[in-house]
Amino acid sequence: MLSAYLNDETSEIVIVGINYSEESKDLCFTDFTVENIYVTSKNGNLKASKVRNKRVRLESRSVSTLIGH
Amino acid sequence: MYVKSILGFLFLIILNSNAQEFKVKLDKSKLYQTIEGFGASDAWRCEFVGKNWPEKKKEKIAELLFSKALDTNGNPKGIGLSLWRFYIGAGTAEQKEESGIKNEWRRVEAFVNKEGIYNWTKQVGQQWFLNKASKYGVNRFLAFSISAPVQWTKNGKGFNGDNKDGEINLKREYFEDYSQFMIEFLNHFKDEGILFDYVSPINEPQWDWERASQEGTPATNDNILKIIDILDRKIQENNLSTKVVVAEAADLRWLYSDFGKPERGNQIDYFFDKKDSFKNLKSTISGHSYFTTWPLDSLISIRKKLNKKLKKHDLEYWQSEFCILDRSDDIGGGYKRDLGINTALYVARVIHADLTLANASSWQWWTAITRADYKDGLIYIDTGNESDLYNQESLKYDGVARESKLLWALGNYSRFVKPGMRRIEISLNEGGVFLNNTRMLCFLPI
Repeated sequence: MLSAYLNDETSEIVIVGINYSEESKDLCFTDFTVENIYVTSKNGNLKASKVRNKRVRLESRSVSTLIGH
Repeated sequence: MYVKSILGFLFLIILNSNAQEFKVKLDKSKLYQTIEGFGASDAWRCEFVGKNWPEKKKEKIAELLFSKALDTNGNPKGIGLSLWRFYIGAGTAEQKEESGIKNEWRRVEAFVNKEGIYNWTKQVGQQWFLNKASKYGVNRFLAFSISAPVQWTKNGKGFNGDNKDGEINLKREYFEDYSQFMIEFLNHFKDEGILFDYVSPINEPQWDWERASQEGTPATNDNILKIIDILDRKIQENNLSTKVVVAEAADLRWLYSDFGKPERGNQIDYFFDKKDSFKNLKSTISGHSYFTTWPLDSLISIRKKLNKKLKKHDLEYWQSEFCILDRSDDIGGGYKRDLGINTALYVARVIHADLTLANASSWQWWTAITRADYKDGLIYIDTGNESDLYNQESLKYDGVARESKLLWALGNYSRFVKPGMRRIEISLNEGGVFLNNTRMLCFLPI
């Protein structure tokens, strides 16, 4: 489950992804580069990681916020 | 041994790279609602915690709820709520046992007494959190009332008792006083430097509130309209910028259908056929997502019906209260707290459905702090003593505050999806077909 939000002033896009399943899922973007990821799962609470990539992995049983342009 | 290790390592690589892959497409030209904020309320437990708990512990709770700062590793210190709901009490705390409400944690003070004298030192614990929210830069404040002060109710209580006519538990001659009470509240806090953007005068009017378990009153649409009318005039006279928000429906189906209670249902048509009559009524209807989140086809179909009705009136929508009351196969019911990921994921899916199917522009959780063994809080307090975990008396003064995964999952939205952002189209490709929001919900794995 994915939803996306645009900041008109900065062109920043925030995507919230929910992976309800027991398996991780890979997302591949063509028009969006992920810069920061914050993951809530059994292993972390909005745990931050920096990336610069058009591909990201949504951990199993997690909610992830992807920020980028 | 060496060969075994290599094989194990290769197996892990294969397993790790075997995740299902989805192509994702964004469409910035397809714009939906403008986000107005993510919030929670101070109902009940913020009072004793804010009033009596050690400073360091309540500061930590405030940080978890309101902070937008990062720790040294770049992880958020809090969930940066953008909306805070202040519960205006009806005076059941002053009534004590006479209130009929046995649980002291569910009684609430009132700012006005039966002589009509105001005392702004009441609800001091809730005021502590309100001030903290303001200092942390929370964007918007909403004041809500769920019963008129007890001296003005028909039965002298904060709950409705046996009366089943669906009418508001407020004597006819006190509609003006009840509205003035809310205006006094708004003016006082404006003078104190906290501007309440919104006031919500009635909560879940479809229930009869017969049990003495908390404050609450039913109200017909006609009752609510009368209060809106008085508030609208008084807001104007007092030069306030506060907007009235209705209707905090107990179930979304009362927003778009009569759902068995014609005097208290069809609230979108009822209130927003008349919206041009009011200067200070926000062009938004609010409702609660309770009892509409399981099974999944109900989660989807109810929100689609709501959205259809909202479009007809060109109306914004707020999901203004939710915790776990429904029973579901995924997490059971509300009883037994769950600090783990299961409830967090369940609620995240509800948020997703409310935002993407009903186009909610604001999403608000019920109560920020709970001391109950129930799935109704973001932060859970207990004594730390396994043999007496929920001792009501000792918890008034101190205890252990525990973060839930639900707190942080709400933070996945509240910390980053800020007021003013616009929701845009996103779809993912599964088997050569791009799935829209409904299909993504049906297609559970992601």
